[in-house]
Amino acid sequence: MSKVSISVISKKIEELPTPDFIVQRIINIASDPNSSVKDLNAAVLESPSLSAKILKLSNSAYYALPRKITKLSQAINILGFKTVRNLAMSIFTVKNFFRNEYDFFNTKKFWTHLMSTAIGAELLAKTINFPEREEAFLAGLLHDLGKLAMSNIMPEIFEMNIKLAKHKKVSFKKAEELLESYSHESIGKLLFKQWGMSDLIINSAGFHDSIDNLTDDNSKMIVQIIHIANITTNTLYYGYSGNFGVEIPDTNSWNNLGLNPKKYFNYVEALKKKIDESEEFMNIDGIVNDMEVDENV
Amino acid sequence: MVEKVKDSSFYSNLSNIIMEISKVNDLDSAYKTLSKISSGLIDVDKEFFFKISEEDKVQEIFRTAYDADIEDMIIWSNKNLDVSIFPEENFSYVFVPIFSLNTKHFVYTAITKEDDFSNEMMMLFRIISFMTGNLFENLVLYDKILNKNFIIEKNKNFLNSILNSTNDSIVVFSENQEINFKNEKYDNLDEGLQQELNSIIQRTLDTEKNQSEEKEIEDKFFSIDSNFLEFENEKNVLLVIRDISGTKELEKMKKIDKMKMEFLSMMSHELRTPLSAIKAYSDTIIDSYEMLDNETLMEFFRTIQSETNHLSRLLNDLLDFSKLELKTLHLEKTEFNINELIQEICNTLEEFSNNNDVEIIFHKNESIKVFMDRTRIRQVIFNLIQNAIKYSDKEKEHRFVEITTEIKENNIIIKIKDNSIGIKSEDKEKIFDKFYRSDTSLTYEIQGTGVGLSIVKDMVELHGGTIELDTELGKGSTFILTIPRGVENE
Repeated sequence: MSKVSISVISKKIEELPTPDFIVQRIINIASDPNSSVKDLNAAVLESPSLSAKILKLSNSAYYALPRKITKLSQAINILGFKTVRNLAMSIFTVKNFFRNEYDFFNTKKFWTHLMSTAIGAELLAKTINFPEREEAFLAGLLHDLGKLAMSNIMPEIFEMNIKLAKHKKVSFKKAEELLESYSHESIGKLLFKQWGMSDLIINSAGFHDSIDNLTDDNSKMIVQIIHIANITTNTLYYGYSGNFGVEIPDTNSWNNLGLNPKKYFNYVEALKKKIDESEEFMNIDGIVNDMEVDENV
Repeated sequence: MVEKVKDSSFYSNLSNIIMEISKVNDLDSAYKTLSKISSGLIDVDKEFFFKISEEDKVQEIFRTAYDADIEDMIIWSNKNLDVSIFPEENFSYVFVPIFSLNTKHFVYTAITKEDDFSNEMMMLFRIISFMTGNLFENLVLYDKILNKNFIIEKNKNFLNSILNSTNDSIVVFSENQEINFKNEKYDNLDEGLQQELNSIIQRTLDTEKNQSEEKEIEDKFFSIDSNFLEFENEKNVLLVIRDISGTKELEKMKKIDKMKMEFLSMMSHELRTPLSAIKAYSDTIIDSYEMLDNETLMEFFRTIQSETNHLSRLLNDLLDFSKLELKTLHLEKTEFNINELIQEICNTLEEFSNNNDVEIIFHKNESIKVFMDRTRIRQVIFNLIQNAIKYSDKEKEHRFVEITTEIKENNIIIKIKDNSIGIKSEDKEKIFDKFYRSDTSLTYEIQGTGVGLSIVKDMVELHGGTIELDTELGKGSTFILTIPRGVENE
């Protein structure tokens, strides 16, 4: 397998979709303490289809709100700045990375993997009382996006990785190692650096399968959360992420998050329930169609 | 109103919150601090603290009235566990769930008229939610510990009061014979006895076995139970010291009871003997009056008289004894010459002494006036001289009883000395006990009820005097009476 040089990779990554002006603005506002509900409201309203979709998702069974939300500002007040940002990011990701279809790789299933990991990471954060639940959601959502980036910039290698993993019943990561290919973690890292995402997101993408290599202590906890959530959803949805091995949670992460068999079992049960309630999020076609409307206007 | 937060930086807000929270030291002030911090972030019109049960029942902790329509939002917030704002027409509800890893404490709810909220405010509320969640968890825990301590203290006091209310002294010594525990009774224990414990403690430690013994200290009896006690690898000795003087008293009472039974069977015998004699002689007289000559008749009458006297004496003894028992005996004191009284007794007993071949020696001194109950004193001296004659030693050639009187200070001392059979030294203390006879076998060699000496002692003591006995088995006895004269020395 010939090595692809990093500069070529970087160049190719630059050509991938980047959060547009609206989404970028939403990200910035959500992270700015001095912003207000009005600011975020105005930014999201720039895209009527995005606003409508966010409103739709906010009213979905997943949030089980006691009252129906009719205005975007209500969604921001009730669900918070970063949840609204996460919804925008989810929509953006589907819209821009899930257009291709492969006969060897089911992208709908892959979306299920990403969304389940996002939900799983958020729920795990809640379970262990980790405050930055929304960051966990976003990190979970984006952690494996490197695989789709890989399918865009080096489709043959991606195909080989998938097929090898499936054939040998190993993880995608293991297949990468066997083929000595460029890893989806590195590509994810480069992608999110380019997007200007926070270290939490970059490191979650870069180290969720190789947690021992992580040196940044600040993002350790969240990467560990993603690591556990990822393995959990890979077990619930075998093969959806291109992983075909049986993965074992990292002991340090397990201990550091204060997990034990009983706690984990309850977590998995709660996660299954939560995923059942998130149909609206899983439905790629629904999201794509709703967003098409906007573009056609 | 967003400016309120914008004025200061995020971090100065945060440090204020931390400062406020760190000042909290009890649950009450925790609620107040939470409300103080909250009103520093937004304009609070009204606030609530909602407790939500497992069954989703909502309750305002301080019973503040609230609009029941918002319960669905409170319950949702308690499940979502994140800060959320529900805007209404003219105001907004801010829900801040206060929770920690294991517990959902309550949902702090504020009503505010503000209509635009800053990201910072929501971030700070979220930080408050986490920090106070842990704070409440700790305070609740602290309360529980305090409560537990209180219960432990209560139990300890309860046990202590039990240990203090027992009549036993309880003390635990360490291996170095230092006191590890003691109850109040131990502190009141005689110091002399405390000193006596060392040897039993040492013995218990050496053998690692329980020991027990009895000790007599100043007329009191103590039982000491010493238990070997190993606690957390340390050797201890638990001592339980009990005053068993009462128990000893009880044993004595039981003995007296037994004596009473013996006395009764003896009495019935004693009473029946003269009675049968009187009956037999009088029956004979009535049946064969014509056949009896005067001399025989007279002899019969004399026997009847003597047996009647004996019976009468026995009954008097019994009467006195029962009077003494009931403490109803009253002394009727008169002034009389004690030597004259003794001489009178000697005369009365002359025949009895001659019959028993005992010489009564009495050196009649000058007149000694006393103020006493003559009848009782007569009984006392009579009894003692009669006893001396009764128990005279048949082995001895010359048998005597010698009576002397002397004045010492305000007392009259009467000594009655004999060379009778004497009394065993172990019986010396007991002969003044009621019903006691040196010889308890029912041989009736010597007549008597056993009441005599106990009455003597009681009567002497009623006069404020004492009776002492100096005796040696086989050699003889001396009874020494010391009684206040009751009159001024001449």
